[in-house]
This record gives sequence, structure tokens and C-alpha cells, in this order.
Amino acid sequence: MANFSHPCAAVSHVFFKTAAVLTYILCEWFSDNFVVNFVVLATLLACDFWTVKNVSGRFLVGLRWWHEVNEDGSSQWKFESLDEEGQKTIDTFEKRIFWWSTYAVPVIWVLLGLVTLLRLHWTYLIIVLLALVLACSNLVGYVKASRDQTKQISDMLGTAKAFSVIKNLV
Amino acid sequence: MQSNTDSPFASGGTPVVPDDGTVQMFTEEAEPGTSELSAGQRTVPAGSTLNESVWQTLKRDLLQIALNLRIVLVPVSKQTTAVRALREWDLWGPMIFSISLALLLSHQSDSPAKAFSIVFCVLTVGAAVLTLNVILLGGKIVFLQACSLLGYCTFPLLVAAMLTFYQSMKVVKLLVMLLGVAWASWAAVPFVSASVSPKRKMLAVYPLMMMYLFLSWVALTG
Repeated sequence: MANFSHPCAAVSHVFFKTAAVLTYILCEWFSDNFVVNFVVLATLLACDFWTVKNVSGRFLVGLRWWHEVNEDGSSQWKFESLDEEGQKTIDTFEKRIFWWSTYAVPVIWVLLGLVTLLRLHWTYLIIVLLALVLACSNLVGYVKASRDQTKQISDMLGTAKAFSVIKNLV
Repeated sequence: MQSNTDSPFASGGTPVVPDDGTVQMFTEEAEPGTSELSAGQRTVPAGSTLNESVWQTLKRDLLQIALNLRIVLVPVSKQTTAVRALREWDLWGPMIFSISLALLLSHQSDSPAKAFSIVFCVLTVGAAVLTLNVILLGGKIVFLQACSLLGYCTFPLLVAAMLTFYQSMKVVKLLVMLLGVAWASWAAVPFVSASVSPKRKMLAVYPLMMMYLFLSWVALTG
């Protein structure tokens, strides 16, 4: 039985994505007005991006990523993640929801984009492009953060082993 | 600017804003061995943003947009160029401004859908292309930071478009739009021209002026 420690985060993570995809598919039935559709979809996509980046990533998998520009003008990615003990608090079911939906969304939007292309709705491709850019940046950010977390933990384990060896020697 | 390892937002207090307007963020990994478990609850050391409330995150992002706007449009001191000041760039502001400007400009037009998509594409693709232009001319800037800055520089055009929305006199509209273009250029041109060598300044600045004039033309003719 899954132990939902962050139900709100999990629900909102999936909600905006599904809402955006469904709205995109159904919008032409409800309104002919491209501008209205665009603004609604852009808002949903933006909410989804912000939620995944700032809320559900933190609560569901304990990761965070952002991009910074340094003094000398170079830029780098920065990450925040839970250490090994903190990782034990992460529920596997929530983790699965997070990663599956984060990976699935770009694929779904690519398919929607192909359909739109075949139907020759050029203006709607802007929306697909926007959705892809947002979804892929979240995906790349979190994959990098996850790799950084694994590296940090193995670095720490290495340091801890070194300390215990030294302690035993002394 | 020394690096600040304490997050100003960790305990929900008021954010600390240094004089040059930048906001420091906590950038280090949560310290090992200091987090505790208690019946499924997770605690992380003070200074990490992992456990902050949603409201705090939202507040921080909104404050960031306001700060970036102030930095770009009202330079605090002549020495601080926008590049150094916009270290904490974000694309939320530019997105909100692009959509709002496209909405305003398409409202008066005969084919709103077309006008909206044209203006939105010009703003987004234009910012990307202008940045590429500066990079190809040998300028040393970070791509997304520059796009963010150019996006913030369209705020004066948005203000001008809002002011002229109900205005029917062409002369007044023209004056206000020109003022908007002047303000936007005053904010963007120093940054663009500072990034390239003096010989290529005009090559970098010219497309920027073209884009602003095009947007004003759309606003005036509808």
C-alpha cells in the first residue's frame, strides 16, 4: 500500500500536464479563437513548468535544479538534493509517478506535434514548440540533478570510508 | 561580490537585497549527516530550499521578476552593467510581457490570430536571433541570460501599448510609442553594444532597433 506523504504535490504534478494535453486536443471544439486557446494553454504550460520545477521535484524526489551566471560571465548548473538519509524518506510510488510523467510528456507532445503538422495547423505548432521546450528543460534539469545527487552520495561514501579507515588506524 | 552561503529565505524572513539589486541564492549541497527522520517527515538543514513552503517559493520568484525589471530598466549605478546585475536571470517576466504585448497588439487588428502569433514569434524568436547575432559577432554573453534581458527590455513597449490602447489620435499614439522605443533602447543598447567590439557596435544594435520599430509599427497600424 503506497504511503502518500505528499498527495498534493503528486496530484498537481500530473494535473497540469494532463490538463494541458487534454486542452490542446479538445480546444478546437470549444473555441475557434486561437488567441484565447494560446493564452489558456500557455498559462497551463507555465503553471506545469513552475510546479514541476519548484514544488513537485522538491517534495516527490527531493531534487532541485537551477542555472546561474558567475561573476566572470561563465554559467553553470546548480543542484540541491537530499543526502542518503533524506533519500530514504522518498516514497517509491511518488518517485515513479514523477519520473514516468516527466519522461512521458515530451514524447506525448512530439506525437501531438506530428499530428498538428499533418493537419497543417501552423499556428498551433508554436504551442507544441513551447510545450516541448518547457518539458524538455525540466527533464534535462532533473536528470542532471539526479546524476549530481548520485555523485554527491558516492563522494560522501568515499570520504566516510576514508575517515573510518583512518580512525581504525589511529 | 562574495558568495553567500546562507539563504535569505530559509526561515521565512524578509529577503536581504544587496545594494546592487542581486539576490543571492543558497547554492551548496545539503550538509551530510545533519538531516533527521521522524515518522516520514523530512528535515533538511537551514539554508536549503528543499523544504520551504510553496508560498515562499512563489514569493521568491515574484520578487525576482520585480527585481530583474528594476535592474534592467532603472540602472542603479552607471558602473553596474545589466550583465553583471542580471545574474539571477529568469524567463517568467519576458514570457508574461510577450504574451501581454501580443494580446494588446492583436486586439486592434483585423485578424487577431495572425497578429498575435506574429507578434509573439517576433518577440521570442527575435530575442533568440538577436542574442545569436551578438554571439556570432564575437560578443561574450550567456545565451539565456541575454534572452532574458532582451525580454525585460520589451516592458517599456508593453507600457506604451497599454497607454495607447484606447487612444484614437494617431499623433499621440506615435509619440507614446516612440517614447517606449526610446526607453527600451536606452535599456538594451548599452548591454548589446558593450558585449561586442567597437567596430561592430552598429551591426549588433541595428537589428534590435529594427525589431522595436516593427513592433511600434504594428501597434500604430493595428
